[in-house]
Amino acid sequence: MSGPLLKIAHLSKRFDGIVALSNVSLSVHPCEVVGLIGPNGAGKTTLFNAIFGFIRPESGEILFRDQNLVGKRPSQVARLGIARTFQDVRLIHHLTVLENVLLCFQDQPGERLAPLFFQQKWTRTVETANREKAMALLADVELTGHADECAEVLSYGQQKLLSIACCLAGHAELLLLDEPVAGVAPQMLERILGVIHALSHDGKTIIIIEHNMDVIMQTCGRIVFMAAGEKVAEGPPDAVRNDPRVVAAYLE
Amino acid sequence: MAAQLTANIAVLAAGYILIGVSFGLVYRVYRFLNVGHAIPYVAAPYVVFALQGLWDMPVWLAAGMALLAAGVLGTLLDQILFRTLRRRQAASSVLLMASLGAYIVFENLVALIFGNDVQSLRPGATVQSIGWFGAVLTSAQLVVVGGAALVMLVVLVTLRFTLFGVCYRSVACNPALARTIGMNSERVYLKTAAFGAVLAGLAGILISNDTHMEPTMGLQALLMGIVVVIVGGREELAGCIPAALVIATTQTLSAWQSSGQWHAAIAFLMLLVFLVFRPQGFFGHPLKKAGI
Amino acid sequence: MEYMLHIAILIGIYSILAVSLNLVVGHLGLVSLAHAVFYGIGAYAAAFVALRLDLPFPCGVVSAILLSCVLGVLVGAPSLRVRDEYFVITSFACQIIAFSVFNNWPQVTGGPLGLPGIPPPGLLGWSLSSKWAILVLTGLFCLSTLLIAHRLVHSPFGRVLKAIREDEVFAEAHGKAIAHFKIVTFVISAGLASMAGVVYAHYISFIDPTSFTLMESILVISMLIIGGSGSLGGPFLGAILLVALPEALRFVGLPSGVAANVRQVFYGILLVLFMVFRPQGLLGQYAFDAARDKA
Repeated sequence: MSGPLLKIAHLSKRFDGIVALSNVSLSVHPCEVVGLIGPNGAGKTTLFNAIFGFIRPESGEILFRDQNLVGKRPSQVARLGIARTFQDVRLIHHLTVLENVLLCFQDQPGERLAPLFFQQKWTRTVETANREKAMALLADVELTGHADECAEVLSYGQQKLLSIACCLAGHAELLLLDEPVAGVAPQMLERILGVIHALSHDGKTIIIIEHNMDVIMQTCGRIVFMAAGEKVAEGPPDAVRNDPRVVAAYLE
Repeated sequence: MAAQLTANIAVLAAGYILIGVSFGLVYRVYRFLNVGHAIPYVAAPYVVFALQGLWDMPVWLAAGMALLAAGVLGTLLDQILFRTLRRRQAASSVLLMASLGAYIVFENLVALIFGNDVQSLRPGATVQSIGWFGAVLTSAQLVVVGGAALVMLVVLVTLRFTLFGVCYRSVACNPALARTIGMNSERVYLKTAAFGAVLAGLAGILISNDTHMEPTMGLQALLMGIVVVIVGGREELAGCIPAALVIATTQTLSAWQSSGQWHAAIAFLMLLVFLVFRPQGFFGHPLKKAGI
Repeated sequence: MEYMLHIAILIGIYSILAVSLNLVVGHLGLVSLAHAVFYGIGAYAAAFVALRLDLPFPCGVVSAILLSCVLGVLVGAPSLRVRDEYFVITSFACQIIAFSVFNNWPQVTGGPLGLPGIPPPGLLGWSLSSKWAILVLTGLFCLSTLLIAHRLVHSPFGRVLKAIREDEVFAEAHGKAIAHFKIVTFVISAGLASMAGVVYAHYISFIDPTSFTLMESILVISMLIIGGSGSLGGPFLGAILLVALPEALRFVGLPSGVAANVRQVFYGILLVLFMVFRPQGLLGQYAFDAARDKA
């Protein structure tokens, strides 16, 4: 595949007079791991929300494999092959760990009325197959022991791992991870990093928002620095880290 | 004809404003549909009825005592039932259903004591008719209109210029923040409950005086109050005025053309349309559906 | 004995209503005060088909279900645009508008006078006029409601509903078309509820708007609250309690004038007590969730 997987061009968004995104352009190529850094309020999560369709930009376009994402509903964006985690870990606490992952599979016949009532055998077969795949995903994040427990009993770090597993259930090609290691203990941080590295190895394209510079330096091939809604700098990790504009923005 | 129609609209709208303002006052702070608000609305006219019937009390004294009773009832309901649920951080649906239960109990107690039939506040009294620019209004209707104007003024002045008004608006806007800066939100709830209940009682007395009363009138009135507050805009109580006028006008004109049977449907269709397409009402800031 | 059969039929009718409402209230987590609309649509459709169109019973059932499903879309549609706490309001607005239509359209609904003389249901040549026959019919409808609801809830579809109930954003972000799931749930809930109306119309043989008021919707949701929403046994238990207990009061010997009021007082007290001491109901899994208010 030649061109970029995700192409954002001149994206702008205001909220009641506050500029959230200002003329942001960014291209992400397949199998890249891109880090998105910047002070709080820089517009990083807003960018994720715009890609996913939770907010609608005033101008600009977002192309995913030549499909324009602007104007699409989040569920449509997800079905195209993009998945995300959230800064405040979102999960369904009333469902078990396994059920959370099962939920995220696409094209389940059991979610449609006709197969559910009239093609019960097929529905059951797919559900069983999904269960196995889900257990495999849980094994990848080392959560199989908790499969039948409610998601709310997991520790914070385990919940973050679960939310990554949920992203993988949907066969997404592009993963948007919003602060995947923020607030977790060092051991868990290593585990999560390991999962991210494995994903990158498997050919997934990943954009990570993080404040932890060590993690960014270790994982990302390219870094994008945002501040006040604008893209300020972009390039290989060392170059960006030493960029005077980046240093200035952090010190301000 | 036009003058009479206008007069009818004014009276109808005034009634809606009376109910709407009292309901809206409480709704902004409670943030749930307090069906129990209909309790003081029903209680006050029945207290007047009882006092006049039992002891032939003059109307101003009976009304005063009825308003006191209304205030007490509203306060008790808040302190005994709602405060308990508030402390548990109960969902708004729980508060709604609890208030509904309380109202059902009260409405039926009233029916058990006074009977299910329609009653009149001053049986046999002659009703004064007043001619005004070609329209005929009864004295009771004039009182309703006057009462509505007075209540609207009192409430707006209170909220704008008193200390209570400031506390009220803070808690209505952002209860958590208000608590953080040291405001005693419980006291605001208490005072709002009392004030709102008294206003509801006043609305009940004035409207029953003009028309009639029966135990089930509370829910009907409350529903109209909800329509007026939502269409007018929850954030700004003055919005009750244009909302009440629009609804009253539509209802009166349609009754003039066909018959009055579609009164309720018209009001609630308007409510539906506003809620779906303009949930902030006439005034008020755009509300966001759940987002991230 | 006849009296016990009557109570059993009523319990059956209300169970259908409660179980179907549970799909929206318990599983989607939306408070709907519009359920009597579908009850009424079912009853009026069945009555109209039998009386005015003179068609056999199954036609009445089918038209009741279809009409109710269409209205289910209308009642459910606002849930896509308004915040959950306002959905209560749109639902009772729909209820009141529907009541107005039932009351003010004499050509179709008979207006306030209603539709008398509805024939008993005829199935395969038999006329089901005895209470036993009606009870069996009610039981069949009730069973199919339970089976359909059970299948829906314990399935990937039901899993999505649980997700939507707790966190719509998460569900959307993982590819679930919220609007589709919500509307489908409303449609099924409405269609099932209409069957209760069909039975009611043919059993009582006379219907009028006073059976399908806002208070009726409130009664059904109270059954869910008291019995417990979110489970299948809960609504059933709630229906039994709220039909049987007030009937038990008949035997206490109250003068008939006050009986209705006393029953309501008792019912209101139950509501308050449950909301204060056991909001999840007797068999329920979820109480109404305060977290949703902040969404």
